[in-house]
Amino acid sequence: MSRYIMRRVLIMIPTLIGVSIILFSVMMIAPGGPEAVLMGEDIAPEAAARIRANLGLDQPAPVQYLRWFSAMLQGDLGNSFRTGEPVLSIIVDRLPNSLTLTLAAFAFALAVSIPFGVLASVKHNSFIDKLMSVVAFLGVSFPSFWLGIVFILIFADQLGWFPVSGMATYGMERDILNRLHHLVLPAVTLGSVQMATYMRFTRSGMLEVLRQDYIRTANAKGLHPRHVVLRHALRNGLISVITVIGLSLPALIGGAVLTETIFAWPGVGRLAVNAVFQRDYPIIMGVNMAVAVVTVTVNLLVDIVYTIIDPRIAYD
Amino acid sequence: MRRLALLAVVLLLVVGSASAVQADEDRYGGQIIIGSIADASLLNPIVENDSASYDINYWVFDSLIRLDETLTPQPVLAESWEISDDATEIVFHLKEGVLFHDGVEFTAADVEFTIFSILDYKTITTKRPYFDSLLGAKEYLDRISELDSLYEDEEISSDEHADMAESAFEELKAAGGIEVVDDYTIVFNLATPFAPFLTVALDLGIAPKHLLEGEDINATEFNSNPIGTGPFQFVEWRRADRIVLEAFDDYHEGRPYLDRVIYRVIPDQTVLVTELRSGGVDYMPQPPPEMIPRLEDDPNLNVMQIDTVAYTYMGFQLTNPLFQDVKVRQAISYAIDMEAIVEFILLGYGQEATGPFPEAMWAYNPDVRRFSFNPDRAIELMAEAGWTLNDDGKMEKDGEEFAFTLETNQGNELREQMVVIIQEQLSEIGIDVTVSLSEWPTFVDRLLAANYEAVVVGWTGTADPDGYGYTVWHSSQFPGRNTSQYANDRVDYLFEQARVEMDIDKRTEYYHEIQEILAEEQPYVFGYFADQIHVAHARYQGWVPTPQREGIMLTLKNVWIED
Repeated sequence: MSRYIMRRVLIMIPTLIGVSIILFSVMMIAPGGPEAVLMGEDIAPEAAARIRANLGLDQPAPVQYLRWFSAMLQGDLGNSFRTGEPVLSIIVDRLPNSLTLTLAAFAFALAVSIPFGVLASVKHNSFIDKLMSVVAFLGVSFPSFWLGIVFILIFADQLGWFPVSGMATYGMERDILNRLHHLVLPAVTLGSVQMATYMRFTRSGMLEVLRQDYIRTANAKGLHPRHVVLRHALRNGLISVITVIGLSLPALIGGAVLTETIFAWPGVGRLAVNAVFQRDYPIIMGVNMAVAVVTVTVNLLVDIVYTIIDPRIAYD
Repeated sequence: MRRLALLAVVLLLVVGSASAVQADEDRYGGQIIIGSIADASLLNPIVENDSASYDINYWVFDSLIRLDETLTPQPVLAESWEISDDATEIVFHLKEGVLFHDGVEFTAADVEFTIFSILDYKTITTKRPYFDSLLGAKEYLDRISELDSLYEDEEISSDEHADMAESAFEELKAAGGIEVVDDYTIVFNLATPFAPFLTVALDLGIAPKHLLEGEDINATEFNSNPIGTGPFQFVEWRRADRIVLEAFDDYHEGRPYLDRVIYRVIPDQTVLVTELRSGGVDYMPQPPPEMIPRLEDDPNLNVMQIDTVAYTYMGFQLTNPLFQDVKVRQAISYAIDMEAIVEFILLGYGQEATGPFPEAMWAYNPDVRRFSFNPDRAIELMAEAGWTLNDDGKMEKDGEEFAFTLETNQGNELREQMVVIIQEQLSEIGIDVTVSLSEWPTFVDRLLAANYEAVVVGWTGTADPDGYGYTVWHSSQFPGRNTSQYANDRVDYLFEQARVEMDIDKRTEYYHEIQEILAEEQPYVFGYFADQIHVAHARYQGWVPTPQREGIMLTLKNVWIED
């Protein structure tokens, strides 16, 4: 097992280098450059060439890549073209905000989807099952930006239960309740799509398992139905859900872009999107590499979790 | 203009009556939360290049002069100034005892430092052209462009470029364009008279030399932790979340009324409007037009409407054979119902443009040719230019149908709607328009390369008509802002004269003639000036509407809360 993990970690290195080369190439191929933004809203064209030279963009692309790469090996992700700040400190500042939101959304999705998914499978074809199907269907159908706006209009504007946007009220940043209060709507918005997806997979995974012989045996032994479902079926039923969770984490980070925008949440998702529109190359590279590292790490963790849930799965 | 004047009168009345009941000392205190869809990027007036940074910098940094609501220069850091008879020497006497927020006194050396930092070729700034009339500046800027092209053609190395550019910069400093006479006197020597110098160049925040000297201006820590002499001092910046400013007690014009300004970043406009209505935000600039009526109905909100300095236009690529015949351009102007566009897109919050200058500006000429919607006249003009409707209902000449691509930038809803309406209206006279949207960097690339057939985009002007005019219409300005590649000797001559003429009546004559020619030639379909709409909670008093970019918001130091 440890050899397997070692090998996987080593494979991450060429994977990440590959990702960085693809990213850099796509960025270079994209038309327009940072000078278009740095020239200002009134467009001062006389400044364009000078800006490119000042930013080192007059060098050939491979040279620029190697410069970026060797600096990165020393922990230097460069400075934002737009603000001059070190990219690393920008990411360190904002990644925790995104992780808080993503984890809260993830926790919400799991907390709702697994119990209701199990319930739907046990009460197969009942009213509750159909209701859950409708909820799941709606959950995957509504785009998060739409859902976010609707939640704001209903729960913040009309009912006044939650703040409209932001991470905390000014002067109350250290008040944990104030922060949680601000976290609810964005986390539910972001978690909704995943919630729906996980619920569908929990339901179908459980349905399949519940039809198997060993469950019939367990039932025949006269075990309490709750015991059969939770002890015997759930573990196996969750395998497919775990796969989906691993695959959906990048989607959760992607969805965070829109949620962060709607709720004025200062996370890396918005940072990345703005950086793309502004052609702020060092930030684009930095953020995407950070997301790539998170993604490959999570995939590795998912593979390890398989072995814990299902001992039949073993790596060597 | 009339509406502006009326608003000013109403505001004066409000200010007047309120001051009777509320004594001046009672006005101090409280805070305002300003909502903005974008975060600032560089809190340093030397390198600022976006609206959000401009707002903050305006409050944190003072300039020598500011333009008031009639766009007349008023002293701020300058006590007074004298302009020589030949208009090439401008002497500024500076205020004594003005402090930066760190307690160091402001002097003429800071002014000199700020302007030379802008001229420094290493600085990434859009403001260099403001100062090209200074003695030695033109030669210096030409030399830098020359060195840049030599470097691009690989005729000189990067080190050689740096050496030569640095020595050119040293020559510029020695050329005498700026003379510091003593701590409180500074002289600007211009190579030629340049009428807009005062208004364009000196409405600029002054940065502290003692904190910035020797720093890399583009990336210094100062840019996220600024110190100026302005009414509000910087406290905190949480990126993409908020910027906090507090009143500067030692402000040389007296402490502002409000204790604190919180500038919150809320990227989605719908959410921002909701925050405004629910009290999470006290002020927002430029709500989407469709939301304005609802805001106007809210008794807690004060919707302020002022003239603008920015116009949206449809520009032709004049080197394209399709658009070389003036009759074709006029026909297109007749075929587009700009009045309906203002009604439909801006919901009436704007005026049709007849040329590059807004109605509120002294240079505006009200008597130019207008192209009121008249599709029949458009078809006649097309016929005079040789284009006739074929059996398919398309404009045709020598077997070719009239078709072109109209581009604009993605994400600007008003422009996106406008291109579609233009497409629809031109199809009525048999012209086939393909709409193409691209995001800003891509779009700007194509725009500046003049790599387009027609575009919808806009210009934000300056307080002086030269800023609206010379750099857009003078034939020397391509490559540059004259991306339509308009060239007219008479227009060139008039712009040149208007730059060096100091007498405002004569300048007005030049600009009037320019507007007549442009209206006749229609190198653009001049679109509209959209009003600036700013919304504040009604308890905030003291705003002064100024027809400049972000005009109302900038008068924050006069604002107080009425109990």
